[in-house]
Amino acid sequence: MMTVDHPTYYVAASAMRVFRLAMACMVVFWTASVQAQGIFSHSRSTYPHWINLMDEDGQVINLRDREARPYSPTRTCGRCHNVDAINHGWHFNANFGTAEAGRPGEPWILTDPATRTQLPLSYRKWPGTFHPDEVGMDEWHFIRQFARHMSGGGPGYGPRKDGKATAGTSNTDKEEDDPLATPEGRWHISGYLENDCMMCHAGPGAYDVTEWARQVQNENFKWAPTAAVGLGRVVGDTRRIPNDFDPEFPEFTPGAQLPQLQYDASKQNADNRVFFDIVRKPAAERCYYCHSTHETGEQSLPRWQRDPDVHVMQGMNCADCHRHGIDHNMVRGFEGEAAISPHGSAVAALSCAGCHTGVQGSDNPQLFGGRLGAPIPEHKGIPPLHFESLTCTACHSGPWPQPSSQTVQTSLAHALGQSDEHRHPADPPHITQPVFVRNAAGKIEPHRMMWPTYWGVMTGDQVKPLPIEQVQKAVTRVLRQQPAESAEGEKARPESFPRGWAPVTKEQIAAALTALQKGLEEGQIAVYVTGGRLHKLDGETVTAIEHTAAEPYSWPLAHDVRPANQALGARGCMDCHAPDSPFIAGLVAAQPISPNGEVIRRMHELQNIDPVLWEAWARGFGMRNAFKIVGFAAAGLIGLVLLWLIMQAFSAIHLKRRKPVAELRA
Amino acid sequence: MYATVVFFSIVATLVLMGVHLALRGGRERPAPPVGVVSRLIYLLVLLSTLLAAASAWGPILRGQTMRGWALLAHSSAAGLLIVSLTSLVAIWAGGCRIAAEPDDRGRAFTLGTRLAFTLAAVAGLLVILSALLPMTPLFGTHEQELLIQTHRYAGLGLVLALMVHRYLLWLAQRRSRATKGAVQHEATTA
Repeated sequence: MMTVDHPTYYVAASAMRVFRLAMACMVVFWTASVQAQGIFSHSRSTYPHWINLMDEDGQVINLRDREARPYSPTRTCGRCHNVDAINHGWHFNANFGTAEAGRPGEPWILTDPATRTQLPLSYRKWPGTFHPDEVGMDEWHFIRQFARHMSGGGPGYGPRKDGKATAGTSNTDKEEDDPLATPEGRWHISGYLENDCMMCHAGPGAYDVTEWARQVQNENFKWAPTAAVGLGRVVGDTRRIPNDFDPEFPEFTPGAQLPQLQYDASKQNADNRVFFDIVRKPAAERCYYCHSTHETGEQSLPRWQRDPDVHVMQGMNCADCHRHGIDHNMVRGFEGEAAISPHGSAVAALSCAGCHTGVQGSDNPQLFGGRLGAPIPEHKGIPPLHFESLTCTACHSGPWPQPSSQTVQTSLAHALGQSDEHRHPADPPHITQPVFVRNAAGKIEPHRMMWPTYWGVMTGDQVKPLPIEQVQKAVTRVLRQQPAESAEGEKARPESFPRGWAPVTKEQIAAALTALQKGLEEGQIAVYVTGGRLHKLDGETVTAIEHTAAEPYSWPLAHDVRPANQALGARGCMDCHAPDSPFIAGLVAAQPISPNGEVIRRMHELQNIDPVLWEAWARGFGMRNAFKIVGFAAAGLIGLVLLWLIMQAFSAIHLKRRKPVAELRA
Repeated sequence: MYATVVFFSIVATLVLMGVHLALRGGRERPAPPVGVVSRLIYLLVLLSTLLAAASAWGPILRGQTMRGWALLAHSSAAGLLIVSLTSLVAIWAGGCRIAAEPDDRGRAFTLGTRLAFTLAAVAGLLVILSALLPMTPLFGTHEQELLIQTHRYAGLGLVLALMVHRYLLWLAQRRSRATKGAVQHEATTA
């Protein structure tokens, strides 16, 4: 028998230590390499995801354990998938300082009816939007406000220090976190809102987005993925827990308790694993949760009369065109995206033109046109100049234009997808569509548009929004106390308007500006931007002026796509070239309306088209048919004359040949 | 490509006319008299062609697409050109036949003038058709692009043919004036 003082023992023990160390290194190396590259099945069939759940510390969860903590998608999915790469995808990287801004898109709209504020926000610094920091909104408040329609990640991982998230995808990130260093946030109580893969990749009916939104509203960020995917029930919320609550020592804060999680143990098999119903390519219905629109304008059709996107009706999914690799950098599908994408022609082949018409002379077979059987458009009778001036979406996308642009509600702005008994067509924020404007490439394309409405401070000619909390303290009471005038001319309380968004009066603006001015420094002027105008105090009266700060923000709309027979121009040139065509003469009214008068723009103003030129074209097109008749008659006449000249020439040649013979005979 | 062709073809035509003027200027047959209406129509053809060419080539030579005011000017000039060119072809066709005989004073359009006139009529016909056919719902994008190319080169052909025609006509009219002056001088001397 070998004892501890036996020399062989030390050799064996040392060998064992080396072996254990080597094994530990291998495990660490294997885990790191898996996280960096991921594990693949490389089959078209979906891999059956019977997996172990893991908590935020990487510990395997036993659903039968009463003390089990909520599962962490980052840890659970990150065992096999490169979540670091995924977290840098388009949907999640907006607040990364290094992320590309990309083409301007739909902003998050800070809507506060109490202060009559609708402000476009974006971490991407799109021109016309404001960074959340500018209105005093840190990541925690941003998540609480908007994560009902986010899948987590990005700002959900907390404030970023030197370009890195406080929390992240690896253990080291977590250890560096100091929740108390961010007193404004309550991350140490709510937990981080991790990127929840299942929001998009859960099978049909396997994910409850309304439960997700409810947990976000309850500030149960850490618990939201578990509850939404139906693994367990979460009781309680963190909203009433004071900021100084320490989850490690809950006994120091009497009465405060973190939410209780009750896992459904029946979902766990004998092997301690749980089945995740996963789809690689999400169905359109999944995308619709965040990307739906609801037309609410006077001339919009009831839901049952509207046609869905022609591609979806042909059996396609959003992800058939909006593809991505493990990096989750979605192909957005707009013209010119290939030039700024590292994937080049592969991205070009997924745009409208790339798929349907292809690119002439391309070596990429996917760019030959007619990809996946897409019909190659003939565009008969449409001069090619149109394709240099218009995007495909100008004629094929969105609702058919009406004499006035129509209001629309979106998932991100109006929380569509959440049941709400108080929904009203006039609910703020006020968004209108389709508005035909020029894009960065100079082409006309349909947009959705909103007019920023906010209380701000003007220094020189620069206008910045005031922090929303500061505005709420100074303005809310003023707007609530004074009765507003309803559309019928009756004095009504703000509560009688949708979401309490009553029109503001000049008197209210004056009172609010006076209140705001008290908190400003010398040289700063309190202003209110609304209805396409900037309002400021001139003595005791409110004056409204035009200012770049009051310009609208718009973003392209591309769906629903209409087929050729319902595209603009299907009935002829006058669909767009008639003097009263909505495409060019349609009206766009600034909403909400300024008390100093309504600002209405025509489409051609927004397209920077010379009104005299537009008028001349409009009149010219009235004579187009006459022009064609005269032109063809003229061509016919010239043709006949040329024919006569040719016959004369032949006749002369013939006579010249016969002349010597006749002379000889004579 | 097209801009280069336009530039060099016009320069080459001007050079050839200069060489012709130096070598053969003054030997042409005197031109027949042209009435006021014909002169006016001819002037309209030249003006409308000039306007159409300038509005088209201005943007093209700058590497831009013709649109906006240039396109409006081009379309307006096109209407005038269609009417005036058709009228000119109808009125002058008789005098520009290959077999047209000189008048009793021996005045007739030269063969070069007649050929230039016929080429201008052919190019004009192509210009009109290639402008009008895209307005019909018959041709798709590829055919439309072919028609645009046809329109461009036919337009260039029209300009060159009218340049040559105008030059030869000018030579003949100069000869007519010289002959008329000589006759008047002889009559005065006698």
